[in-house]
Amino acid sequence: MKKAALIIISLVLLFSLFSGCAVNSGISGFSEKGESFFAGFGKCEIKIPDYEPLYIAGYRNGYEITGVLDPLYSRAVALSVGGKTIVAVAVDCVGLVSGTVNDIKREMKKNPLLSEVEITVSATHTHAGIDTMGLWGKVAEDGKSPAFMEAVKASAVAAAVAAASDMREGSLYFSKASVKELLYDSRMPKAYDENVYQIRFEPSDGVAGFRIINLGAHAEALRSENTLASPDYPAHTGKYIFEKTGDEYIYFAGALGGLIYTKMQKDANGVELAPTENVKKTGERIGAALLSVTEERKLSPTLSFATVSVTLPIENNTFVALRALGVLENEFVYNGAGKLGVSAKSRLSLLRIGEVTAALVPGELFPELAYGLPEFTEFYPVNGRVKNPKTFKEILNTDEFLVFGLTDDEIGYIVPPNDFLLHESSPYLEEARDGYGRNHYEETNSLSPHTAGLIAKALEELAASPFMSKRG
Amino acid sequence: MKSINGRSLVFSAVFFLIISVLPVAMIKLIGFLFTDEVASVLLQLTDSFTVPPFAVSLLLAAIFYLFNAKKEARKWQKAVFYPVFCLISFAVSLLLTTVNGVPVFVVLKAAVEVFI
Repeated sequence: MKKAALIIISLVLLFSLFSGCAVNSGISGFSEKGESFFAGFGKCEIKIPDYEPLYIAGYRNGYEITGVLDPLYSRAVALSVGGKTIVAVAVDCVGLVSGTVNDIKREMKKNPLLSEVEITVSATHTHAGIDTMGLWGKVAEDGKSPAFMEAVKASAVAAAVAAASDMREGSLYFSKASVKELLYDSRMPKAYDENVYQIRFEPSDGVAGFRIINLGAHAEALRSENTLASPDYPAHTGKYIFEKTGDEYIYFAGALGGLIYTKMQKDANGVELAPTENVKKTGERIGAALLSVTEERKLSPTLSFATVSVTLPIENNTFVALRALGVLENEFVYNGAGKLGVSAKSRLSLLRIGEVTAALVPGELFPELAYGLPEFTEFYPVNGRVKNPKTFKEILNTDEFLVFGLTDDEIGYIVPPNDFLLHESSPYLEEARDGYGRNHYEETNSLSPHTAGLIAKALEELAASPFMSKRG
Repeated sequence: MKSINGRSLVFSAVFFLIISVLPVAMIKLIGFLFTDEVASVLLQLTDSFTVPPFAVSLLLAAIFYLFNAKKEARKWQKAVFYPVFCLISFAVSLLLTTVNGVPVFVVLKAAVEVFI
């Protein structure tokens, strides 16, 4: 009897031990070379319910929307080379956490058109969108509307299906334009990518195509007092381009952490425009910059994709509390890592379209982690002895690459470890102020100081994977 | 090999049910007082059958059975051992119980970081 009991106990112990372990799945992906690109575009408006309280996401708690300025959409592009396809979706919202993204992907995989393709789901990070993370309802209450969340999921699936159904042969062209004068970095060091990028698809059948637009700036041209739902400036960039060329657009937010946003636009007399005019002018100026491009690079018909699951320790008490309250729906694992022993199970991917590489990052990346500091920047980080991880530029070994932020998850800000500072008595609850008088707000919305290093390490693994090292 | 002690097995099964379900029921009851959503509370009761709390409860129930089946145990041993063991088991089970996927002890750890 004792022996039997011992065997049972041992089995139970083994089971309980292993059930708590986080296992990183390996890198998966593909690398293909073909004769030409096939691409498709799809979009679907997100139906906004009118019978539930809906909160504006991004600024403060319990701030309800009062109307719709511009419709919110899910947009998708499908890119295919040599029979391998990736569908990239961008939803007009503040962020989609991994739990929501995985729900969307599961639904997509049920469709025969999407069952065998790679899928990524990004958020445009509009601060005039409706709460999709639960953080902006009444304090400690879930701000998500179940009806709106269903509408978001349904529209993302519909857009992806539409893109996959619209595949046409054609060419892709890459270009960039400087929008330096439009951008502002609110946190030292002043480091950001001053360019807006586009990958333009020109179908061989002569009809209008689409443009993949990428800019590292918060979509908050409507500013914090706004109560009208809108995708913010990307909608006006897209509208401007559509009116001039007939091309559709999809927008991916770049490295916008710490905290890059667009400046207020002024009228002829130097007076700042009203937010509803500011958003329009900002979007149009970005659109005009993109249409002013004279040099485009035709991309070779190759497509590579590599993706890996990453577990990122959570030391932010507020994140844990909000997860326990059922507000946040990020995928969690108990793996003993970090101070609290829990980690967010997230995802990092690399996409190479022809000669252009894009890092698909699950949060709001500080630009200095991607590009490093500009030459002659005078900056004294708070943890001078701490070394930041390799920059994306160093890892990818190129000066020119894209960052698609808030993709497949929203884990908050990804802060450089050498300038990571927490409030002494209320870490992650109150923002710290350093010896130079600088505020450290972004840390309160981050997982831990370890995130940047782990992301960089995973990116190195992806860059070295056979999918990326092998040129199609 | 000795035969199975039926009485102890029943006790162990009851013990297992109590330590695996009661902590969750308690937590959900607290949640219920705040959220007023009966359906959601009932649904979330199924959280109790997640591993590792489930596995640990089973392990504790097995230990409980082994001690209970030992007939030669003295009265004072039973009087001291069982209450202490039950209390510890309940505490362990409570700490391992998950609230929306987060173990209670992690929530407590996070709270301690903030308030102490």
